[in-house]
Amino acid sequence: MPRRANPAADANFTSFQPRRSYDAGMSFSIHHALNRFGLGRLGNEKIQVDGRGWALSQLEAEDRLARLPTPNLRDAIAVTLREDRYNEARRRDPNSHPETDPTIGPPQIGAMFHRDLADALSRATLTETPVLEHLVLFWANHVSVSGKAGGYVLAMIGPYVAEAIRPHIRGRFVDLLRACLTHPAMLYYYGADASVGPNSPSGLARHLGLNENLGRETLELFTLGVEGGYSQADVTAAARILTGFSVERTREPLGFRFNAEAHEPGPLTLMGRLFPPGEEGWHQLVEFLGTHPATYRHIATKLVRHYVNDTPPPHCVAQVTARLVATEGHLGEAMREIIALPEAWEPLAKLRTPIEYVLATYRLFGNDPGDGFQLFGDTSQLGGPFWYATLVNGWPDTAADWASGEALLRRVDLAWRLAGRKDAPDTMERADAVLGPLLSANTRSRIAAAPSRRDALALLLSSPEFMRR
Amino acid sequence: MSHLRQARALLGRRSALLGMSVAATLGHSSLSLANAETPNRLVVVLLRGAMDGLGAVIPYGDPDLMRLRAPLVPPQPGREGGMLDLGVVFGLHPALAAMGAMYRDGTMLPLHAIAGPARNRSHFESQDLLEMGSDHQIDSGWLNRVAALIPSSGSEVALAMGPVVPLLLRGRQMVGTFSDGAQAAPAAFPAEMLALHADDKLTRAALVEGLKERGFTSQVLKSAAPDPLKRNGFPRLARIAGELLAAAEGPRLAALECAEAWDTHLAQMPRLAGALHTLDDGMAALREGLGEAWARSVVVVVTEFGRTARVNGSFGTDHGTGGAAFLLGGPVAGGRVRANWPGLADHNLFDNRDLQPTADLRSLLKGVLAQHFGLDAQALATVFPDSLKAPAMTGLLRA
Repeated sequence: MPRRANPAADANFTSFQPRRSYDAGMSFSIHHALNRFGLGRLGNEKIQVDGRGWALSQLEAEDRLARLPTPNLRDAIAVTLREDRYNEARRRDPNSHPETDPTIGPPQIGAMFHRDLADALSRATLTETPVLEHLVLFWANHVSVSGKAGGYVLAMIGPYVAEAIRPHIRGRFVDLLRACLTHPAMLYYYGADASVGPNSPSGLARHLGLNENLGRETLELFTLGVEGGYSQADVTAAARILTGFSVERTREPLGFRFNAEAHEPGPLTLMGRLFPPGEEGWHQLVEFLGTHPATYRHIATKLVRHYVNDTPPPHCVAQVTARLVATEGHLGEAMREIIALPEAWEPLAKLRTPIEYVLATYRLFGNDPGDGFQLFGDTSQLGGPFWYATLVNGWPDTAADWASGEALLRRVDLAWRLAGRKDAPDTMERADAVLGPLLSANTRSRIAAAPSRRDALALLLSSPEFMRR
Repeated sequence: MSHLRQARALLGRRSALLGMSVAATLGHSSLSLANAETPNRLVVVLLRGAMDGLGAVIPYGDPDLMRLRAPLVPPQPGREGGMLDLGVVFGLHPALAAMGAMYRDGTMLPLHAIAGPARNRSHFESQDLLEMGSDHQIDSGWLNRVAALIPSSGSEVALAMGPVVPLLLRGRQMVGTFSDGAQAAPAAFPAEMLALHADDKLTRAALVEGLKERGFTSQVLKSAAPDPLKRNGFPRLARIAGELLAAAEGPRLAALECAEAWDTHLAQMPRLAGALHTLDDGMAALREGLGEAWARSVVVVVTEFGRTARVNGSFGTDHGTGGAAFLLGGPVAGGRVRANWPGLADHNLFDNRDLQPTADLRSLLKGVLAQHFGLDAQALATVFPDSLKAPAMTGLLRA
């Protein structure tokens, strides 16, 4: 949380105020919605005039990306087993070449991460349901699992986003939370599979015990927030309740397994509430945290910061929180509430994050980006490598975090590079299509006066309007 | 607010504390300002993720250490792979060889049982408060407020090594950022691009600073002797930071992050050794890069909190409170460990789990600023508001 819970610092930055007002006839609302709630217009994607209606209809649309063959956990687990066999063979004989052994073969975890990243980025570039895809980005960052951890985690992030995040972006928060907390990607990322109840049979036999990592961040990052009213004792209690979470890689059903042998026995108290031991305990914990009013306030604040303003207006947060409370944490309803806020329609109030900037850029070209992995390189160059957050709270979400000179100049570098591509489109036509009335007269006239086609397109991509959403 | 901020950003960045009006600053040439300039340099190295202080500076003479965390303690000094003896009860982790050598030549000072103002063991809140230099949320980082107090006519007073500016350096003063990326666009393009941003206060100011910094950086790094630097990552960045700081017109302040896996909840021994090794390489590279400017430079290495005194169930450690910090540099009165050691007996632990902090990181930082830049009590109070309970440490640097 707090990197962003710093309203005063955010207030240091003034937002961009175009010196015009917009009327309905100027198609302001659709261009605003495409950029704010979507991911920037895709090529000549068909649009309607009513941006609010478009955004709402996107929330109802079928998520076709969910139908495509997606990375799945079974494949990821197979790859981790293969990695184990490879490492074991090398351990037995450091001079061996298990990659040539047909029963083992070369390690594939890195290749799998590469492929899943490339797929995810290509699909986000070409999606016709950008509002949904934007929500996938948002939630995958809220409950972040980062490739920076390396190891098995690399193979699991693709499946994690496909299986634990995507199905729940417009469902209930508690369901998203449950899916994430029990996904092997999360368990490996937080080392939760190694956290053992000290008084459990495994703990006593093997002298193992707790680590608090997942318990703490579940309270602080995913649910209640740092000001959610919990204590150190509650952190430890959460960690104890979550003991027994493990990953089954060899016996069906593969994936999450509750290992009673490693679970801390006895009932536990968390925030004044008694939780029973065993599986029932963690089910109750997820239900308790996933529907807690402090959780609703925390996620409402993050949503409003993301979709409305770096400094979340308190009454907007209150409204979205109230909607979450009234709907038992329905995330689709929270989005409808946000879309209905007049404050969400202030143009260009948000600076794009690196991933948002990169996707908007490639979408402007409107064709297949080819190797989606290139986009990962681009997000790295801009300081925010996709699925690779440095810290466990994901990438930050405000202009204060991203508007340094070098970070913005790297956007300009990227703009110049892409503007030199052979398939570069006509700039003025793209400018009208993508920004429409959001484009300022200044930018328009300077693009028109640019000395070359490349300069013109690079200017559009490095304009303040395009850096924002 | 924004007008004032802009005026300061454009004109009088370093003038506020010199008592100069904006107009006076405008009229002054850089020469007259140069008289007030300090030759001294300060580098702040942030270890995000919480370095295990008890694992880096090991109180091996404390009778309770082995009871609490035997699996995490390297061999005694003198044994193979053993820690470096620091005297009294402490040993330095064996991965910190270069820093150990600095300790022996008296330019490295470890501090222990020290913590920032936060007590809730949250990475992010603790990092925020450490970077803000405050016990509550405020609107800028303490190093940015220092930048306002340091007169300089050169490039930006403060430099963030990396594309984004850490909270530590955010605030009213514009700061430079180091460029390490390909610079693709031709020379004429930036001016064209900048013209688009005339109406956008946020992006324009940032881009102007970015362009200035790139110009400065390429100048300095070009003039430096060509050195095929084979090492990557943090040591490379540290080396470059040293070179940029060493330039006569170079920044006075720099912030640098050693982004290693400090958050050692699991299998700490190999992970912490790797992270410390990188830090150690980086400190050696920074010293190399600074060259003769090392004699005028102080490096302070800080992390948001220490970790639990007891080993956890995964041969790691969880979030704790008291930890360690390092001070390095020519002026540093090193070669000893500075700690008011609370002991590791259970009843001495904070919440019966963490090393009890007996010193405030703000006291360390205030002490450095007072001695290194001559900041007085009033100036220190603007850098670290509401910090009366954390008085400046004395004797950190050689008189």
